[in-house]
Amino acid sequence: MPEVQGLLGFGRPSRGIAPYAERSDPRGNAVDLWLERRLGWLEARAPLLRRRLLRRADQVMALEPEFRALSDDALRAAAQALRPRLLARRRGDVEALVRAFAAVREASDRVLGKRHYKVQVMGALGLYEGRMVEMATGEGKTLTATPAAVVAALAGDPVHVVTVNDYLAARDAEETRPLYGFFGLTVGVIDSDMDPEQRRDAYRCDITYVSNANLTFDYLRDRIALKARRGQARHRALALTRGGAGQPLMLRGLAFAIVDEADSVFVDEARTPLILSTTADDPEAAQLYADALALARSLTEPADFRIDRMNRQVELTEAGKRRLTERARAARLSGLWAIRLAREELARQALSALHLFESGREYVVREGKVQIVDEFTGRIMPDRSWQGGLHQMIEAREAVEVTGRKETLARITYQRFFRRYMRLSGMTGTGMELAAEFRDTFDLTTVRIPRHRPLKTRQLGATFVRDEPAKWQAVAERVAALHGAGRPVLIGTRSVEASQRCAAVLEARGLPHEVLNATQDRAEAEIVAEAGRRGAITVATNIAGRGTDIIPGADVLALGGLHVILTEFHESARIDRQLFGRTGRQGNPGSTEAIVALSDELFTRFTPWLRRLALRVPVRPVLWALRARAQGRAEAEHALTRREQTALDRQLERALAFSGPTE
Amino acid sequence: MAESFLSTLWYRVAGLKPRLRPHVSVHRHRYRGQPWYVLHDHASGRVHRFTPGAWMLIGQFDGSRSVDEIWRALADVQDNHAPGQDDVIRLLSQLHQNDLIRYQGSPDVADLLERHERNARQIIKQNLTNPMSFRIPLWDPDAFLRRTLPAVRWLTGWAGFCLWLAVVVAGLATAAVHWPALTGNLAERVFAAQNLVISLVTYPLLKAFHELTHGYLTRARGGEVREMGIMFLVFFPVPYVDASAAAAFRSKWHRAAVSAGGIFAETFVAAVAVMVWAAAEPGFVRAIAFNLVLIGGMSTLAINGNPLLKFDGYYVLTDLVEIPNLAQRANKWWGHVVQRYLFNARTLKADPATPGEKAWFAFYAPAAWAYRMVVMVGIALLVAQRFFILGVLLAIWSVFNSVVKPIAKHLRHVVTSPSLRKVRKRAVGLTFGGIAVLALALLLVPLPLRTDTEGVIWLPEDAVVRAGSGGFIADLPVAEGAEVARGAILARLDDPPVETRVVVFAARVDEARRRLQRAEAEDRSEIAAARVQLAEAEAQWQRERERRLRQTLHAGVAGRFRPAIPISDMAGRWVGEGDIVGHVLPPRAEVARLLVPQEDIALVRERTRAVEVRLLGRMDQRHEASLARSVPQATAVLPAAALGEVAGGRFQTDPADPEGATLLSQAFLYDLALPEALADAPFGMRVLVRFDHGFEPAGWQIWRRVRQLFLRQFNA
Repeated sequence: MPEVQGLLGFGRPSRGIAPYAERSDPRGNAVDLWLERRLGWLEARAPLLRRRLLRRADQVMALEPEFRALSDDALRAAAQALRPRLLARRRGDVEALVRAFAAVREASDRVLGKRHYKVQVMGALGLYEGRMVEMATGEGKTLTATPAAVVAALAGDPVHVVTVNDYLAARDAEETRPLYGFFGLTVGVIDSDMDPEQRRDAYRCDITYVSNANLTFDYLRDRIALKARRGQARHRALALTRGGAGQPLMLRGLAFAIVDEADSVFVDEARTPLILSTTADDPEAAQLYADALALARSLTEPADFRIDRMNRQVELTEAGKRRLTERARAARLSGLWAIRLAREELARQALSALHLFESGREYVVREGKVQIVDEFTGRIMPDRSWQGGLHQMIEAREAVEVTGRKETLARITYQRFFRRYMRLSGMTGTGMELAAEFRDTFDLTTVRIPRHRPLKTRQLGATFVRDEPAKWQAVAERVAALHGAGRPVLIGTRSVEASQRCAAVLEARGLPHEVLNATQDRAEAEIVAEAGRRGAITVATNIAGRGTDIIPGADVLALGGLHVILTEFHESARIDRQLFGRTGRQGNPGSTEAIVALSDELFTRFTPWLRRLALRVPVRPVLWALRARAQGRAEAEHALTRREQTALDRQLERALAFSGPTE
Repeated sequence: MAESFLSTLWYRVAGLKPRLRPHVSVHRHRYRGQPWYVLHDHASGRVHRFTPGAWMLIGQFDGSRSVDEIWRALADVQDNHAPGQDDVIRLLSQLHQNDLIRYQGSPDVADLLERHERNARQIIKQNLTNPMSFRIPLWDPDAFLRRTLPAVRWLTGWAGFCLWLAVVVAGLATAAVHWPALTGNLAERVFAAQNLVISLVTYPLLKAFHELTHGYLTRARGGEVREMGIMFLVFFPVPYVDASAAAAFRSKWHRAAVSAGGIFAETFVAAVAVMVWAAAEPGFVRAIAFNLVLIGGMSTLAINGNPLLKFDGYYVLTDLVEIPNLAQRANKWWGHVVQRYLFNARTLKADPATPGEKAWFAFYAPAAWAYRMVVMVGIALLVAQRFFILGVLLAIWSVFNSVVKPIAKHLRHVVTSPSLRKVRKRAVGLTFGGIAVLALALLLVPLPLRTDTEGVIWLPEDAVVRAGSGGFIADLPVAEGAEVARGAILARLDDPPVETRVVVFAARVDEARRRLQRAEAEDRSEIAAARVQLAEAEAQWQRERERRLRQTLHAGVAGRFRPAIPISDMAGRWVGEGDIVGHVLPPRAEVARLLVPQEDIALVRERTRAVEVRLLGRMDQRHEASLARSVPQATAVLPAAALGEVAGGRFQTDPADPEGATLLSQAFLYDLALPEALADAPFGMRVLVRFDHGFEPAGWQIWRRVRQLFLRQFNA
C-alpha cells in the first residue's frame, strides 16, 4: 500500500461516496503538496525502497527449487491455500506474499515458458505495493505486471491492468491469459467497440485489461447511471425496494490498477479532461459553421486577430470584433450571430480551425469523418472529439458531413479519476524526472528497478540540418547506407503528415519501406512483426513509441541490431527515449540517432531566438543548448499547465459545489 | 482566457431549478444614474449589489424553471448582450457562495463542510491578525431600540440635524476663541496620566453613544439592527453596532445619515464639551470636558470622520458619491490598470465602472494609502514619545500591514497568478526591474549629502564695553554711533571712594616706607616686619590705582560705538562692575558662531567639503564660507538665545530652564569666517549654514539616520 493520504497524513483512506470501493478526493493544501513534491523527488532517488524490494525478490527467487518440485495441481493448490492469508492480513503477511509470487513465477515458466527475472519480480513487488515502477524499455513490463495482478486477484480485488490503447490491451491480455487461467482466474478485455453488456462481462472478470480512456469513460457512465444516488446504503435500499438499482453498474470498484506506460497516461494525456457526451441534433449547424468559416476567412492577421502559437489560442482584436459585427450584420445573419459572445466565440473557433489545426497532424479525414490523432501516441482516437463546436468547425472546413454538437454529460480529469483507486500502481520506462509530480498528484512513490542485462545500444548523437527537405534527404541517405548493410531501420516521425513525406522521399530513392501511422493501424501487428527483419525499413509515427516490441532476427543482431532514427525531437525528452527504447531491448545490440531540422516546430515555438543563433552559428554547444532549452521550456510549460489545471479543477469544483456532488 | 459563450460545464447546472431564499429581499437602487438590484440577506445582514443584467436571471429563479430554460429564453430576447453560459455559472456560484439561493437536491456535503471550516478559520484568522476588528457580538438591540425609539424619534430627522448644527457652530465658535489655550502643549496633555485615566471611562461611553445613534438612525428609517457587541480596537474595548441593514435603503441620503450618525454624535458631544471647558474653573469637570473635546472632536476630524480611512466618514462618502465599496474597487481598478496597460495583459477583463467612478478610483486609492500611512506613523510617533516600546511596536505593525504585506501579496500575484501567465515575462521583468532600478538608485546613485544647521553673526568678546569697575558715568567723550579707533576712550567713570582710597593707600605706602627707613637705622629686628607692611601697602595702592584706571573705558576693537542705553540717559548713571555700557561694533561681521547637533558632528568633522551660509532675511543669497575654528567644543548652553526654539531657532531647549538657554542635548560650537559679502550682516542675526559633504547614495544616508535613531533611543 502506498502511504495512506501521503506520508504526512495518517489513518485509513477515506472512502468516496459510491456503491463500490473507491477513495474520496483528497483535499491537500499548498504546503502539503509542496512537501509531497520534494519528498517524492527524494524518495525516488534514495535506494531504501529498492533495497527492500531487492530483499523480497531474493526471498522469492530462493523459493524456486521448492516450487519447481511441485506438480501443476500442487502448485495450484498451494496458491489457493494462500488466498485466506492474502485476504486476511494484506499488509503484514510478507511470507504469504513471497510464496504467492514464487508460485506465479513458477507457473509462468510452465505455462508461458518465461520465468520472471529477479528485476521483474522486484517490479512486480513494487506494483503490488502500489508504487510507480520505472523499468528500462524492453525489460518485459507485460510479464512484470502478471504476479502483482494474480496475487491481487487471489486476494479478491478486482484488478484493472490499464494500457494506452485497445491494441495493447488485447495483445497483453492474450499474451498472459494462460498464466491467469492456470490459477483459475478469468481475464476480460475491453474494446472500444463493445456494447455495455459485453463490457460489464469483461469487468466482471478477475482481471480486466482495458485502455485508460475506456476505463475512465466506463466509470463516468457508472456515475451517470447512479445520478445522485451514490451512497452504498442508498444504492442498496433502492435495489431492495425496486428490485434493481436502475441501470446495472459497469465496474466492480476501483480496488487495484496497474497502469502501463503510466507517464503517458498520468502526464501526457492528463492535460485535457475526459468528457462523456451525447450528440444533439442541430439542423442549422452546418450553415452556422459554414458562415463562421466564411467570416473568418475575411479577417486578416494581425489587424483583426492574433495567434498565440505557443498556447495555441486565437485572440480577436478590438478592430476584429468591430469588423465581425459589421460583416455579420451585412450578411444578414441572425440567431447566434446576434449575440456578441456567441459571435466572437464562433469566429475564434473558425480561426483556430483555419490556422491552428492541420489535417495529418492534429487530425485525419477517414471514411468521411474527422478523427483526432493523439499527439502523444500518434494513434487515431475514433470516439473523441474537440469541444465547444471546434470539431464541427473542422468538419465544415474539410467539407465532410457536420455532426451534431456534442453535449457534455460528464467530465473528469485523469488526475481525479486515478487518485480514486484504493491502490494504484504504474509502470513506465521513463518516470524519474516526473517523480515529484507522481507523488503530489497521484500519491505514487517512484522506484527505479535496475536492468536485467546491461544496455548495448550505441548512441550516434544528433545531426541538425537547416530545413525539412534537407532533413528527409539526410534521413534517406542514412537509411540507404544502413539498408545496404542489411540492418533494419525504424524511422520515427511526429505526425502522420511527416511520415508520409518521409515515405515519399524513400519512395523516390527506391527504398522499400512500410509506413505505420494512424491511418492504417489494422496492419499494425504485421508491420511490427516485420520491422525487425533483415533490411526492413519502417516509417512510424509515435505509434511505435510505446509498448511496441520489435524483435530483431538473429542475423540482424549479428549485423548490429535495429537502428532507430528520430526525425524530430518531441516536446519531452521522455518520448524521445521511448522511441530509442525500441532497440537494444533485453540487452540486444542496436543503435540510435536523431536527424532533425532547425525549422522543426519545437524550436520555432519554444526557442525562436536560440534557433536564429543556431542557424548562423551551427556549432555543437549551441545545438545542444537549443535542444535542451527547447525541451526544457516545453516540459516546464506543460508541467505548469498541468499544475494549473489541477488547481483550476479544484477551484471549479468549489465554485460548482451548488450543483451537487461531482462525477 | 477570452470569455466564451458556451461552457463545457453547462451540464452541471442546466437542470438545476434555483430560487432565491425566502429571507432575501430585493431593492432597486440607483447608483450614479445606473439602476442596480440590491439583495438584502436578512439572515446574515449582508447586502449584495447586482446589475440589471444579472437581475434578469436572478429575477427568474423561481424554483419552477431550470437554469437552461431561463438562459435560453434570455438569449432569445437579448440579442447583443445575452449572457454566456460561463457568466450564468459564475453568477450562480456567486449567489451560492453568499447563500442567496437554494435549489432541489442535496449539495456537495464535503464542500459544505469545507466551506464552513474555511469560514470559521477565516474569522479566527482575521481576529488574530487584525486586532483592529476583534468583534464579540453580545446582544440583539432591536427590541430595545424599538421600545425607546418614540422618545428620541424627533431627534432622528431634520429637527435633530438643526439642533446638531446649532450646537456644533456654537462649539466651533467657542473653540476658535480659545484656540491657543485649547491646543497648547497638546501631546503633553493627551498623554498625561490623568487624561488617560479619564479616557478609560469616557471613551467607551462616548462610543456607546455613537453606536446608539447609528442604531436609532437605522431603526427610525425602518432598518433592523440585530447585532451589538464589543470590538477590541487595539485591545481597547469599544462597543459596536451592526447597522448594515441601512445599505438596503433606497435613498442615498438615508444611507448617508445612518453612516454619519457617529460623526453627529461625537461632534455634538465635543461641541457641548468645549463650551463647558471654556466656562468651567480648572478642575475635574474641566479635565473631563477637555478629554471629551479631544476624543469627540479631534478623533472625528482625523480618523472617524475622515473619508480616507475606512470609518464612518468613508461610508458617508461612498453613500453620497454612490460608489459602494469604493476603497476595494479603487484598489482593484489600480491593479487592473497596472496589469492591463503596464504588463499588457490584454485578455484581462475590467470590472465595470463609469468614467466618474474611475476618476474617483484613480484619486482615492493613493490618497487613502498616503493618509493611512501618515496617520499610522503619526500615532506611532506620538505614542513613542511617551511609551517608546509600544510606539515602536505600533509603527512596526502598521508598516508591516500597509507596506510589507501588500508588497508581498502583489509580488506573489505577479509571480504566480495564472491570469498573468501570458505576460509573465513582461510583468516579472517590469516589477523586479523596477525594484532593481530603485534599489540601485538607492545604493549607487550618489545624492548630495549635506548637514544643515544654524548659527548667529557673532560679536567678538572684545567688542563689548563693560564697566571695569563700578562708578558713576562722568564723562562720555564719544557720541553715539561715532567711529572709534581701537583703544580710544569711550567713557570715564567717577567713583569718589576710589579716589579717596588711592590717596589713603598712597599715604599708607609713604608711612610704611618711613617705618622701614627707621627700622634700618634703629632697630634692625623690625626690618622684616616693616618690609612686609610696605609690600602690602604698595599692593593695595596699586590695586586701587588700577581700579581708577579701569574707570576709563576703552574700545577693545575699532568700530562704531553703540551705548547700551541712550547716551543722554547715561551721564551720572551708576554702573556696577562688569555691567555692559555699550558695544563697539566692528565695521564688518567677521565670524558666525554655529551650533552643530551631536548626531551630525562626525560628518561635519570628517567630510566637510564646503560650507555655505545664508542670512535670515536674505535667504536668496548663498555665500561660500570657511571654518575659522575647526577644533570644536561641546556645549550644553546656547551661544545665543536666537538659536533656541523659543526664538524661532532650530535647537530644542530644556523647558525647565526659564531663560531658554540650556540645550536638550549637547551640541558643538564652530566659528565660521564670514565672507566679504556678509560684512554688513547685523550682529546677532541668525544664519543658515549648510555643510556640503559631497555625494552619497540615498540608501547609505537613510541607513545612517536610522542607525542613529535607534542608537539614540536605546542609549537614552
